Amino acid sequence: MATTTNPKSHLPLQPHVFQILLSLIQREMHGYSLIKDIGARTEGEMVLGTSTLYAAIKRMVKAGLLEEIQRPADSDSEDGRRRYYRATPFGREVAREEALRIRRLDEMLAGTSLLGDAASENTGV
Amino acid sequence: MTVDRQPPFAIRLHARLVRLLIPSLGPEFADQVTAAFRDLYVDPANAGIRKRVRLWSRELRSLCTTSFGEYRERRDARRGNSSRPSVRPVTRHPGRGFRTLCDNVSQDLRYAARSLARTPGFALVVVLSLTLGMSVSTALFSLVNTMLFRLPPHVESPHELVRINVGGTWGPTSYPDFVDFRDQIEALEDAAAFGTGRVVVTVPERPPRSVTADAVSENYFDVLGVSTVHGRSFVADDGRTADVVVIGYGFWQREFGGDPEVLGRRIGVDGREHTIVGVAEPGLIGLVDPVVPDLWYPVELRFREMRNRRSLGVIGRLKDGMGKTQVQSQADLIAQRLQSEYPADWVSLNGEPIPVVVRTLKEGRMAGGGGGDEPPAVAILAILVTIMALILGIACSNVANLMLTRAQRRRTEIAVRVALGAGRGRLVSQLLTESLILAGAAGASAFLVIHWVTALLASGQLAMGLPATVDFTVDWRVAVFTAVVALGTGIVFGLVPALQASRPDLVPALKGLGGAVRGRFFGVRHLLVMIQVAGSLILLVGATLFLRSLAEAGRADLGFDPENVAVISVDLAQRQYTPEAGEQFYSDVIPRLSSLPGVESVAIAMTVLLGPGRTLWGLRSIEGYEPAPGETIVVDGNVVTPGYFDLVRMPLVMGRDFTDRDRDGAPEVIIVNETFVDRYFGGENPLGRGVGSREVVGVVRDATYERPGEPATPHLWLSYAQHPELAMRVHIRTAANVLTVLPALVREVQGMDPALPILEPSTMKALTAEATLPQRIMSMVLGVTGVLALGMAMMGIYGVMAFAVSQRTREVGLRVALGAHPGKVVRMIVKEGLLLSGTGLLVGLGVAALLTRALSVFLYGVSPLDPTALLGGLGMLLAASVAATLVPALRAAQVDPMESLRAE
Repeated sequence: MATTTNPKSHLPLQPHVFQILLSLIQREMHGYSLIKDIGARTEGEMVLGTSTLYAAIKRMVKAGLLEEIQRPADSDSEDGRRRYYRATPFGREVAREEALRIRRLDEMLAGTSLLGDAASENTGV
Repeated sequence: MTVDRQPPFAIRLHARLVRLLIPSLGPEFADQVTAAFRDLYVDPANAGIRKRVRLWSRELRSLCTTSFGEYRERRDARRGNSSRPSVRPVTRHPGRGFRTLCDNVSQDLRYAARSLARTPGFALVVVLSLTLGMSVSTALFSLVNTMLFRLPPHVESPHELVRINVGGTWGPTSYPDFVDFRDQIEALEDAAAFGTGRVVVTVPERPPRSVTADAVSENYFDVLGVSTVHGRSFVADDGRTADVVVIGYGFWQREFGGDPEVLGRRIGVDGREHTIVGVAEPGLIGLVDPVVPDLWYPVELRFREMRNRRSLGVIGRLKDGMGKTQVQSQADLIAQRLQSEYPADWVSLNGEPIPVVVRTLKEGRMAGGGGGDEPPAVAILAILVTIMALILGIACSNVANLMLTRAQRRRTEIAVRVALGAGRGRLVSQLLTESLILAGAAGASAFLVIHWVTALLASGQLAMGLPATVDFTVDWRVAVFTAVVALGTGIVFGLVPALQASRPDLVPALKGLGGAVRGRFFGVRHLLVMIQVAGSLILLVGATLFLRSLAEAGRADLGFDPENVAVISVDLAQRQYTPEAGEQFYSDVIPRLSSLPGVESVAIAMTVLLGPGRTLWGLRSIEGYEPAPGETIVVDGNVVTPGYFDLVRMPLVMGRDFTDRDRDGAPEVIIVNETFVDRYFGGENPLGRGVGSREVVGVVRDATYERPGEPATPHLWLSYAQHPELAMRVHIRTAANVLTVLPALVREVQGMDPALPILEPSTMKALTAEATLPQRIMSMVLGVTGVLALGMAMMGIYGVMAFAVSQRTREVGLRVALGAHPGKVVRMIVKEGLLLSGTGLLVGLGVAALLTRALSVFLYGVSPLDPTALLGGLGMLLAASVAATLVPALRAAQVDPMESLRAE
């Protein structure tokens, strides 16, 4: 498989790819719970369509960010088609690099007046 | 939640879409997508219509973007731009060749969708007018399809079937003749006989009812190659040894709830017990009419020996390699033999041999199943097809005009694109894509509308008093028709504007100037408006003609008075009455009904004036009348009891009415009408002269007999006591409202024989109304389409004028600035509008005058060139054109000269 071992080569991540990684770093999940988890974390700002989700999962598995695992024993799912995924160590590393990239971005922004304006706009309304 | 074996439709649809749009996902991932969607779908958080809509719109968006993304990724992979699946945001690369085409198409689609979404009003108007045009034409087509093309489903190789007709193009055959044809025509593998009629069916514990039934020869199902879903069809000798019936699928479902145990049950058919031996395949419709028979039974034995009882159609299956001509020549030989053997049945009164005519099944449908006097089906078809073409033409011109206007408004945008290097082909394809999207949407909605309407028809909610179930199904032909029409209109109304717009005059267009609007471009738009105006005029004139003719018929003196007369039809044959018992029944019924309160008088007649059914009497001789060579004397007649003429208010002008003395054994008597006297007695006193063996005793005033408004025809009446029949109609004149008395009348007749089926007790008024049903349906169709066309033509004129005015703002402003009176500007613009519609009106008037001739079969009391109809249609359209022009004209008059001049 043509995967690369350099996590930085994957940056910047597509926003939904980063969100999927964030969810799957915490625990293994299947598609439906992923959609709900991401929706809850982003407070409804990002609700993924099923095809977007699985197209991303497929690419992430190929890129070595995710892996499919055996169904957990406590799963109450009766549907054999449900598959569970979790982030690989490499996936964690990529997510971490993306988070660092965002933090650096955040620090850069702190030196500008951009967010100050936005904040006052938000509180002002 | 209930556990379904099959997942809900939404989930199956979603799974289909995933596989279709994102094939690269592979079955394994596609399954997972479906599983996740199922979880979302059944999640209570997504219940309710609004949540479901939101879920679907999210899913569809996701499907589309993923589909595009995957496609792009595959394409890039093929070009070697990217060797691995990426989780990074993508960048786009320009392409060439087939890929460019794909790109262009998807770009066109997105561009068209965006540009239509920016002008939703325009898109809505276009889709609505096209939907209107297409659904009307599709509806009419499905009618034509049912009448003309659609053969009964399940029939094996229908092109091998021919019909053999005696005496005329669609003349019926007798059973003995049928047997001769079947056994002696070598070119036929086999032949079957069938006769469609109404029978009274009694299912235990249900009221008796009248249903459509086919009397058939035992091999009918075998010749057609159709079978049964339960039990068997007929076998040889069924008609001889047992009373058996095959019931229709619909009848089985309706009356027996689809009970498979129905075989062997007994039902009454015209009063005789029959055993059900089979259930026919669903959708088996009649061979001639698109009517669904409820049952089939073998031709009754008593009719199998009667060569003079011509009531059956004959259908034959050709042998391999044989054709219609071989059958015709062999049938001619048989006919020659029959003519010499049975001259009474095979030679007409004027000495001419009766011919045999062979037709293919398809030709058989053309003629419809009606009798010779009904308006020919071909005429109805021609009218329907004309309406179809007109409506579609008007809708298309309307839309083409809208598209032209829009293209003209976008000249600047198009010029920019040309200046930036867009090729003409790209521009045309992009504009065409827009029109195809619109036409596609309209076609789909038209198909849905038609599907819905025909479903309503099938469910009987719109039965419109049709006597039987008529099978109007949307089949593949209707679907193909709609698709072709949608595609055709899309190209036609899209191509012209696209070609026009893609050749803009760059410099003024870029400057945002309207430029000159006359010349070729405007010529097309003028032409389109003229087509609309002409088309609407034709439809309106047609509608007015029908309305006038109906009004005329309503005003016409019928020659009798149908008000407050009840009619109860009784057929004693269904209860196996002997002729004597029948006479007794009818002579009892008169005093019994007469004694009821509210009844003025009671009489009995075989047929109802203007009602369904007629009886023709062939006369051998009339005293003092010399028939012309080749003339046959066939006269409409009726059989009545004394007091009938008084009851229907048909006055005697000479002689006397029938009396109780005119009975069996007494000299036979006859009463005729005035036209009979004029025609056959040269207007001389006919009393005492002979008609055949009967003596004329009275003359009644002319009346209408078959259709209101028809010219009077010779008519005769016989005395019931001298010609007793079992099936008669009891006429009752009441003093007050007939409907309040009708139930008591029915109860009284029922009291005389509780088992006697009484069918459709009615009033004479209602029965005479049925006589104008085809006219009323046609005037409704034409009226509705005419009003729609008028609306569309108004829209067309308004659109053209409003646009023309907006293009001439500068000129108008200049005129006003130079001192022109606003009233003069209004007059100028209205004049131009009227010139435009006037040309269309002239053309329309000419075409209408030619086309309305075809309507003359349906009209009475009104000439096809009726000035009221022509001028009325003209007036309506003129008024509409003035109204449509006035609005832009008034707006133009208010133009501020400075404003309009500054615009440049």
